[in-house]
Amino acid sequence: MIRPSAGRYLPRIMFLTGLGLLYIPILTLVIYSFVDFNTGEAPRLSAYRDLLRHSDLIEALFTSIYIGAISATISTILGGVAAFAFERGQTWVKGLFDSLSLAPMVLPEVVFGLGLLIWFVFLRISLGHVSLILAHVTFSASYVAVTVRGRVRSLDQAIDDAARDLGASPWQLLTKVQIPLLAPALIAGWMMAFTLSFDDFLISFFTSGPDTVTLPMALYSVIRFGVSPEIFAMATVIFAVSFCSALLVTKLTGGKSFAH
Amino acid sequence: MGSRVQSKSYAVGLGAAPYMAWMLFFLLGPLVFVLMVSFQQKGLWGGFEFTWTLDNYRRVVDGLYLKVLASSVYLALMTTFSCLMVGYPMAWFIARQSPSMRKALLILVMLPFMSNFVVRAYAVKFLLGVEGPLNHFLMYIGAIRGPFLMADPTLAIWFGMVTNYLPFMVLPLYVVFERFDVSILEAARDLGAGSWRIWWRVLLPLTTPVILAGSTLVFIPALGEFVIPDLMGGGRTMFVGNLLADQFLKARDWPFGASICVSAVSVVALFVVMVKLLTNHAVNAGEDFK
Repeated sequence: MIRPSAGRYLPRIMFLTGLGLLYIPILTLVIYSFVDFNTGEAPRLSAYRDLLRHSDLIEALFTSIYIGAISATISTILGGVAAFAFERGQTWVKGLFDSLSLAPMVLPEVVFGLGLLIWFVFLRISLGHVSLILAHVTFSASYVAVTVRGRVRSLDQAIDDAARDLGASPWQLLTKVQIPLLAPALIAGWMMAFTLSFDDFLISFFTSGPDTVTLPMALYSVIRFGVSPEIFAMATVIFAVSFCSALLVTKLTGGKSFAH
Repeated sequence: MGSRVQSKSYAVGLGAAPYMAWMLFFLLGPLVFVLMVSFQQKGLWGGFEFTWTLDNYRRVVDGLYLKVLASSVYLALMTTFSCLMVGYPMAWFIARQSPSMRKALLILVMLPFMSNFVVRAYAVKFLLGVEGPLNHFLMYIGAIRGPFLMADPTLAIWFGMVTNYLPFMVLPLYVVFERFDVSILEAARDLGAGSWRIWWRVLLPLTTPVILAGSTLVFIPALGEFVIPDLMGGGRTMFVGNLLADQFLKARDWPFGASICVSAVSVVALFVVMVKLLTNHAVNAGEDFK
């Protein structure tokens, strides 16, 4: 085994440096949420109790869950059906599909968010829940489409033929064979869309209007005003929840969501 | 039989229609609208007046705004370069582990990315901030007298962007390294090349396309970054993301804001075209090499 680098240990050192870059800021917040270094008092759980008193954050959390669930469901239906149609059907728009699916990735988010904002204002779509859902579906549907499409491609078409030969109607084929086979990808796609929606700050910030506040926006306004133990506690809760759900998605997709 | 399958296929293909309609209306629609608005005049009370003009672009090339664009491009390039410097050996290290270890390390690298971006940005701000542990520690051991890291927010912004975008660089590099045929390197060694020479003359040229791909994934979001400069700089520093937000939300100057959008997208397009050209060049060189 040879190591084509300036030093034998360089990759290892850089790997640890990179992990440090990624984790030190997060771990610092987690530690500070439990320990108050000014008074030396530890462990401290009061921050977590105080967190529950922040009714604005709790309310924002429910708004985020609500927006995330609706937009993920719409994204999964739109993207899932489209993925199936593109793989199994004849369409003349495949190239357009590919470039539109790529667009959210090659477009600076600010441009997309502000473009949507003035587009909504121009069309007189009221800024609030509706505009948020429209925006979130737009950036998450293509991720669902790509995920489901990979799964459709990997399915053996012979299974469909077998079901048809055994006398399944198109409806039975869809509900008894194809949807169950696609279920892992559909669930993973839904969770991905939900996560994208739940975590999105920038596009929500621009397209939500004054009265609708999602959790990242509420966090942002708290965070801008400085430092408090509750913020650390809240951040710790958010890290814990998102790490668990990320691991769950990995389990469901067999780690494939990391590979592309 | 064949024709029946064919007609059925077109019916199935129709399922893509709602998705395509949605994307055309809510993705392409705003972009075309922004392009159109960038050539209009500012309305009296925000919005725009339907009169074609080039004035907005004249303002963009005016010194001040061009400087903002240039400093954003510079910061994005520095971020990209730093991510490459750390990400390249990282990806190599992960790819050389056993398969189960590889998967675990990859998840470890991706995991922070799965948590909320605002909170992660805040974590960096807290770590480097005036009241943060790093500053306290450095002051405690006497390395510094006063807070230094936030004195120039550009440093903190750079650090925040590197931690945030590092996985974008590691992932594509890892995918290539995992499939990389190390026997090529062994051949180079047998022919008498030293480690440095193997890296410079063999590994680097063969991985140039993926380096460029990873750089694109980092550069594009870094260029339009809004949250990190806003949080770290507290509105003191102007980057293109913040300038844009100000134009639309505070100054309510849609046409000028739109023209900055178009300029930023043009920079991205320029970057992508350059990457494409360099990639083709590298691939051609690779063919010669074989």
